Amino acid sequence: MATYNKFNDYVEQLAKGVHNWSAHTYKAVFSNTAPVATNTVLSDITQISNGGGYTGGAGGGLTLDTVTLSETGGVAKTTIADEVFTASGAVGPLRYVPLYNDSATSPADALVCWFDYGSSISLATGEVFTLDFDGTNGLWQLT
Amino acid sequence: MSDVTAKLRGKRIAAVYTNGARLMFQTECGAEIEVAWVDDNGRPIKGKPVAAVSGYRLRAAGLHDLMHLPRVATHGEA
Repeated sequence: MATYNKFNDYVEQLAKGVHNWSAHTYKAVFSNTAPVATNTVLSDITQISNGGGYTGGAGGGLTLDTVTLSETGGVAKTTIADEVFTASGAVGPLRYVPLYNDSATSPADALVCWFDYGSSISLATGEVFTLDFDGTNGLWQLT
Repeated sequence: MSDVTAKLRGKRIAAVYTNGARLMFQTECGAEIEVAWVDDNGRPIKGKPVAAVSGYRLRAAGLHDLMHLPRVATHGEA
């Protein structure tokens, strides 16, 4: 299981209303350089090169689908559908998967968290990389 | 949990063999399992196993309790 690694600034931006998990677009990017907790925006992340079906850069990455914010008994939760990326050519190496808010404007592309696969991997044509989110407990819960 | 998972869970795979109809997984601890395909009646299905999909899966753990509720501490009476 890949640990949720928090970008420190995320909780501040969440409290300021920068993040809207029921309306904004969130994306995942690929990196082979370890993020640090003090990173704040996407431009702080060193993404892998474009190619093999992966397009990074500002506004790039994989758009996370079916992002659902819900609240039950005073506990808010965000669930995200698993994201499957199929390489159309060589991709990587990659090890880290940071998530960011592509709709945020101040700051733009505000970071949320990152996951560490544990080792660098490379994808060949046709190979898939699956971001397997917890469909029951969600990406995060606020209580 | 499938019987295949039950046999292989937590074990390190040493080798995978095929005779064109079945897949055999050999683990480093010596356990082996041969996987076959059968229909609803348990009869073997003609065909051969192939690597249909391969890749990697990142199981993303969530962060719970973003907010910790404050507690009020009491210190005796005035």
